[in-house]
Amino acid sequence: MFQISDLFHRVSGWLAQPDKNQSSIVISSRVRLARNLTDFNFTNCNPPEKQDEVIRLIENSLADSKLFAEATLWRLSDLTSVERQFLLERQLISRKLVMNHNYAAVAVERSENFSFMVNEEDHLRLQTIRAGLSLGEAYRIIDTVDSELGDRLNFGFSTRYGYLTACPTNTGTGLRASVMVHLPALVKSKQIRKILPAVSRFNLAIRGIFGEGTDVMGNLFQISNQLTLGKNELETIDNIEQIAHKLIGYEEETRVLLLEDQKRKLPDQIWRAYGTLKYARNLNLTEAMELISLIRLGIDLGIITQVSYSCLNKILLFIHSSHLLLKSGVGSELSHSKVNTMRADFMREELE
Amino acid sequence: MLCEVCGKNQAFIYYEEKVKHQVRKIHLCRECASKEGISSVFAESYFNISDIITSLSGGVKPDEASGKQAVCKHCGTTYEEFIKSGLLGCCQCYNYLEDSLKPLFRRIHGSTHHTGKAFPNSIKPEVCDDELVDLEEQLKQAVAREEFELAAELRDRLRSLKNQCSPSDLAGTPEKRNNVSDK
Ligand SMILES: [Zn+2]
Ligand SMILES: [Zn+2]
Repeated sequence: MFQISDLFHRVSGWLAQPDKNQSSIVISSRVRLARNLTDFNFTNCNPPEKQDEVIRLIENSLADSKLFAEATLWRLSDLTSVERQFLLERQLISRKLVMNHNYAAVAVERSENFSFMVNEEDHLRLQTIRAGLSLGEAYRIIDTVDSELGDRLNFGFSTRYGYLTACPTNTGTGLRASVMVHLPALVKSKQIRKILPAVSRFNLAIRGIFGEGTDVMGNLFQISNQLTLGKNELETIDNIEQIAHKLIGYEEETRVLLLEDQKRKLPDQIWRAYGTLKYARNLNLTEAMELISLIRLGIDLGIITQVSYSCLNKILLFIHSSHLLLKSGVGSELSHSKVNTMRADFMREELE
Repeated sequence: MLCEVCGKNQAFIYYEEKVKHQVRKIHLCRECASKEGISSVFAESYFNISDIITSLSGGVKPDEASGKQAVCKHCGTTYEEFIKSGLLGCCQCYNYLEDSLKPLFRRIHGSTHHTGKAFPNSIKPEVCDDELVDLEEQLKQAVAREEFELAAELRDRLRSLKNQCSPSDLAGTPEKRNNVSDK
């Protein structure tokens, strides 16, 4: 057993140890599996007392397994709204789970190697996140967790349709694999507009936040699979990894061109971003994410050497408001401007 | 344009999602975008999945021929309700609404058969004949329509399915599972 407050001061295990041999263009890999208990209606049709029973059953199945010895389950109803927001920022729970907070729970392994949501759209959403491009490893972990749970619980499964899920877009493997990629050069050169449609032709979904002009939210994109029926787990993962390698290649080529083209301008922009992050007294999240993106690019290009990837990964988590609040022992929400000040303070400490 | 989340501030950023040739955008103001942070980039979808289901099921009229409403006898979910919410009610829905779901699976996944990990307690996979016939029919149609790219894909799938269905491998999935958990 551990407390949720144990998570406040440290970064997720997967972020703490980024693989040094990996390209930093792929920031993280995530795999999740959707599972349902065959004896209960899906969450949207499951009455409250039955939802509670689902939580109890899953809690019990954790109790007698070595694999789950380091996992703790929290009912969302026992957490404050800031704590829920914190778990959301940490990518341990989803917005949908928060919406069902009266009857939902989350189980987290101590070093965040895996976690699962209970009573989301499906009874169980198992998840694991790794740093860099390592979907294969992420799948191996979650596959083991799934098998261990499968020995104790009766999952809804049909030989024809595979794992039965509330939404038919997940039926089959119940697998959603995704990578978060950082593509600043493709965004700057506007090549992204040509490349993303090409990616979506491979039955993958792409998500990102775009702005007008240079206002792009951290230059981060998520690529994930769409098909879960008729493609097995390894094919699915392979497909995404191949596309991720292609994107890495395009991004790297574009960086070379960009640096040639903006020999003075780009390093100047990167150093200004560093200066702003290090000395600002007021930072909103959008701006902070843009600056972090530039610094990550700066490290990749060898321009900035005084910041490590693991430091940057930590920052990427802790610039979010509930992380800032809980880390400083503030239990309730503060105004935007106060949080912006805290964010700037945090940044100065980290870059000291 | 106003922010679609708070409806108050001017939007200047948009969140975009491309799924299956469909592009969906939601416009956000700086403040709302700030609140979302990376969590929205990492979200499964910002949009209600029922939109996709509704648009994909456009051509599928439930029980037009039989004239009666398809309903799950276990949880009471009707096909109409499912189309509205995008969510089924229970595992039994897959049996009771199967006729309506099959064409939907084909549109969403291009397949109606699971090929991945099997649940250990389930009975061994049914013979794949059913899907073979299915695929051969689709292949014939694709060739007739001169959709050769699709045809090639179907041919590949047929080939791999035929391999999978070789008797020695029929009950092979649980073994695969054991190998993995031994690691
Ligand atoms: Zn807004
Ligand atoms: Zn049902």
